[in-house]
Amino acid sequence: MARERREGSPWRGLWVVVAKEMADHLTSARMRFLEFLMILIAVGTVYMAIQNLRAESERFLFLKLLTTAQEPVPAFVGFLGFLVPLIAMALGFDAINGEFNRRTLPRILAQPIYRDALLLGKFLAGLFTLALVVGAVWLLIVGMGIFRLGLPPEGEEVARSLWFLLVTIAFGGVWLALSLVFSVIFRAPATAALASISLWLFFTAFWGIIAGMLAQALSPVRFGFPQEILAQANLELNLARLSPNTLYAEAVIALLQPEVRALNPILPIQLHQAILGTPLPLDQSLLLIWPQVTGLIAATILLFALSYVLFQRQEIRA
Amino acid sequence: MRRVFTLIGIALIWSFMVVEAQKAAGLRLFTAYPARTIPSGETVSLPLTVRNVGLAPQIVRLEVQDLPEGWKATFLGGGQAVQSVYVDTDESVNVNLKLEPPKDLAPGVYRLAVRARSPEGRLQAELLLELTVAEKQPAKLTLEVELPTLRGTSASSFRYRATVKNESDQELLVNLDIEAPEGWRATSRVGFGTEEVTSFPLKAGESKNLDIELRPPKQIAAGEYPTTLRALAGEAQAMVALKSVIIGQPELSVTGIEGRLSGQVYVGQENVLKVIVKNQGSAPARSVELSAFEPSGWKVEFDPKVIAEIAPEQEVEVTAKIKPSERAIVGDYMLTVTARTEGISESAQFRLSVQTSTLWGIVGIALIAVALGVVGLAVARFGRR
Repeated sequence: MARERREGSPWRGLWVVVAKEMADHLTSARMRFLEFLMILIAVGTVYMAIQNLRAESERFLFLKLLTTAQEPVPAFVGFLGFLVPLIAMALGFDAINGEFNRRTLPRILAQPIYRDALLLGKFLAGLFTLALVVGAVWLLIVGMGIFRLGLPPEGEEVARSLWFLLVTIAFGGVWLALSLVFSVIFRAPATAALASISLWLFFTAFWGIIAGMLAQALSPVRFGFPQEILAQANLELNLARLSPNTLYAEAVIALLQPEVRALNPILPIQLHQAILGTPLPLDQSLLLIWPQVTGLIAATILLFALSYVLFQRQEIRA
Repeated sequence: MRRVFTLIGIALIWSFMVVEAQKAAGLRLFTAYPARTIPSGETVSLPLTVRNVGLAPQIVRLEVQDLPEGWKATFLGGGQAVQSVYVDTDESVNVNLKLEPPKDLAPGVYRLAVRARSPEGRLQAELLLELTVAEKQPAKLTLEVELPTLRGTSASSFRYRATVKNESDQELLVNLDIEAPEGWRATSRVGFGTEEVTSFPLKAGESKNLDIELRPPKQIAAGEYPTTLRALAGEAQAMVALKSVIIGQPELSVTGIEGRLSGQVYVGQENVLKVIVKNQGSAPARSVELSAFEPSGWKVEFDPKVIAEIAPEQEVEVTAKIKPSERAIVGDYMLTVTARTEGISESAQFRLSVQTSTLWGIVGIALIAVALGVVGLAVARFGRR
């Protein structure tokens, strides 16, 4: 197959696609539902958290707004852990196959827009929409915090919560790219949606159990030595880290709880003469979770690359 | 003849009786101790008795004669000043004679007479009094210290037990004066009391125990320090010299540069922490040994390990090479550095923040770059015309 060089940038028309897709997303009914749900959760959890925080006055109050849970309401970050994948999947599950089914894909590609720009535009539009929703909720929470606590957040709290925002968007990016892959593979949007959701359920509900079983099988504790127990725990943790949910949870814990010094199992000897309860500086917390953050971002990019390759190889004249 | 004897006998008895009667009847004025020594400058009270022997009841006037110049005399009866007394037959009345000599009374013998007489002056009685004013004893104090020389370090307090005695015949108000070297703190206590006392009354012949405590200033060189303890009471004074011998002692302090007790260390590297050992004592500290109580798995070495000598008020900088355990987790650890010499040890706790090197951050960014490279390759490979 003789290949010819393309004329012009493959990304020409990208921003047109992004703008149009975002307009579609933001006016769609499904976004309305998700936004409503998001705001309800934000207001509810933060209100409960403030009720809890009233009594104490310590450092990082604003970060505690996000992590404090009061029965029966879980913490805000707990909700985000499953709400963000849902929003991301809702934004991406019919990105390509929807165009197929409406028979609009050839029409779009008849314009001077490459497939590259179309796919990336759809992905970026989804990511920006997600960022917009999460950013708006973040502002809502900070505003409620200032209003109810009566004090402004510290610089480090703002920096940490902005990094939290970034990690949340990267986490959403993984699920968005994944649903994009399924929307390329499956022609029926319902199948694509179900595929995404079942994979999400697999990671949320089953992967932890499977990781534990795998760790027991691969690194059994034969004699009960501490090294064996530690090796098994480390293997289980590393297997669990194949799930983006685990990566996200670890990143959030280290960012929002500055006292967290390690994410791996710690031997008591490592804590000999350690001063506990002192917060780490932001750069050290970031270094702690850097593998998690870069892992999420790299996974997003690689999944996008996969969807790109699949999309480029597809026959679209139907 | 017999008659004659009888007559003579009667005459004798009669005459005897008359003589008896003459001897017995009349006024008497007396006191138990007509000659006595009195303290100088003080009012004296002498009890007098007036007696009427065999006379009709009558009023008797009392007066003092030959009163020395400057003296004042008053008769007191029933608490009041009286001039005369009424004495019944064969009764007696007690009167006090109050004598007020002048303040500046010269020592010597003073005589005066007290006369009692009936109004007509027919009957009278006289009493001669002789008062000796003794030479006034000068006020005299003595002061003694059990152990006048004590030894101690600059941190100890020196306690001296002293006894002050009043050897005069009068009560004295004793003032204590402690002349201590500059910078020293002196306190004095009396008996076993806890209050600080600098002046107290002392009765004649009495003695009191004093507890003198001297505290040297913290920064003091070794040597002998004299103190003078004085007890003053008017013109009387007693003095005793105390001596405190300060034995020099090294005193160490451990700190970081500019007093900073924190530092940053990286895992897998040899980190340098500067430790300053200072001798704040009054004698040189010899062969100061440095050691560390480090978190387990850490390696700490000092350079130099032993400091040969630190002169007083001098400091030495020591380099601590710290290698954290490979498994140290990020965050703060406690490191205790101890300097030890001749039974003295001083330690400081350093707070070390373990930092991760940013190398892994670069690895993460490289990972993202590889992922982007994959996208770039895919675009180049699968890009459609």
